Amino acid sequence: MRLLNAIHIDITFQFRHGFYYVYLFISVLYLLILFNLQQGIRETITLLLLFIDTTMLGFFFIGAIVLLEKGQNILQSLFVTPLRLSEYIIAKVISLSILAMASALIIVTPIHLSIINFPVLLFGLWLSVIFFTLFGLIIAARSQNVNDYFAKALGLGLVASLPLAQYLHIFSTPLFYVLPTRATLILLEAAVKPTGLLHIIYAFICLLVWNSLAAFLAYRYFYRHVLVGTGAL
Amino acid sequence: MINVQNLLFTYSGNAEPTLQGLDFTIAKGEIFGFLGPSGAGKSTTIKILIGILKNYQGQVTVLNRELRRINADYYESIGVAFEFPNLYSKFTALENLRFFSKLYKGPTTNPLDLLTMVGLETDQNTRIAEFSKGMKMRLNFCRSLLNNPDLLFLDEPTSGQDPVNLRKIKDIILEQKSKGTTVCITTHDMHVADSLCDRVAFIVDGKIALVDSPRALKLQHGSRMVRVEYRDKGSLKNKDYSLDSLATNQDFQNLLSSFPVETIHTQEATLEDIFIKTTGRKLQ
Repeated sequence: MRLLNAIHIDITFQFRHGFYYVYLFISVLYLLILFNLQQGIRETITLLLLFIDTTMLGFFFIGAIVLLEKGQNILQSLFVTPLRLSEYIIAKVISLSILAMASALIIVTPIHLSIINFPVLLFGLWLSVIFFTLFGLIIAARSQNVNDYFAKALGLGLVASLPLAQYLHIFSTPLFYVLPTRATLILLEAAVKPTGLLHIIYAFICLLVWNSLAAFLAYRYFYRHVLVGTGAL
Repeated sequence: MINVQNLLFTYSGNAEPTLQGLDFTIAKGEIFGFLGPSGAGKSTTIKILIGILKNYQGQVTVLNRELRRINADYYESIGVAFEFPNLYSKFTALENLRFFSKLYKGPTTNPLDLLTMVGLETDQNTRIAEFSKGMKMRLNFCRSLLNNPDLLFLDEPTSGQDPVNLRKIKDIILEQKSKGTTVCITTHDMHVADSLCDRVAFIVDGKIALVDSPRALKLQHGSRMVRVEYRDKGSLKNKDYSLDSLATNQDFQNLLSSFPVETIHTQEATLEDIFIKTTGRKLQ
């Protein structure tokens, strides 16, 4: 019940701060671009936009949300209520997942006929959104302001995006398989073209491992750098 | 209600402990004030009492629970209002209180009743971004009362309030006390401490320099004298007399019968005087 209320608060907060309008605007913009692309390239670009929109955009939004909350000193009030830190984190992950997955469903419409494995697409994207939200929380916990966050997030985001080089046939190395984003791209591709089961299993395990690590670190960093610092007494 | 024994706390990375062995108890229904300059250890003490810092040494028992072992359920029983307003700025006053009240399992007070109590009922549908600092402070104070806490922690609760609202806040705190709520206040304002607190503790350099009731402290540290201010041929004059022999002091009796007396005050110390005398430091 408390978790549901926390999710409700988060969704209302995101709505009031215009995040839903931004997502809607971006999704519609993407849609217009995609509908004007030729059939052959449409799938590649759709998957690319899905990757950027649902994963990276959430990564930047979570930073903005947490820093807005920090700026309004809301965290001070939240952490002296029975709300658990874990519930706070889960509420952020779920509320942003809803937004990101709704946006993904809009973006995917131009290629819906090409999708051969919808569950893999949705579940893969969802795990990726969770990872980037947690990753954003880790960085936000240690950031003083929005500029600080974006400087850190941009650098780390670029590293995380390296597997895109393989997706775009620019550069490839087995080291990419260590990164969660390689797993995301494998699952996105598996949604539109036949992919070996082992590859899919690897991708899910990779994302689950990264998500577990990110959840552990998000909790730990939030406790150390935000919760303990709570209070201006 | 609160029992603290030999409380030591060192922040990671610091060589010296911030709290160097505090001992105090606070009884149920008591209003207890923590006074001290910034950096004295006041905020660390409160952070431990509200369960945020758990890696302390010593014993800290609140509501019969050792705080090292509490979980977030502890917050069902306590209310905390920090000095700086901390609410959702794009939500209205009522929305803020409703959201926060939903985080509690137990019964909560009707947000509208709380808003009425602090004179914000007509602003219930106004977004916080449009509130003045004083209004935000009062709303924040309401938030801390939502869950009918057994124990209330208030940081500078009267800061930024005009005299009318200051009176309201003080009356609510006294009403909470009369219902049996224990209240811990941190403040720089000696008048607030003097008029509200049953006892005060002066914290300096991580130690409690003094604990007692404001009245006892003022009597102990003041001089047993009375000062009479009177008019003599149009000019204001004053004279001091010892309290001990006042009834038989002929000079005092003569002054009362010969001159128009304007004020008579005993010369007990003020809390600020005591603080400076005890610690050698100013409060602000």
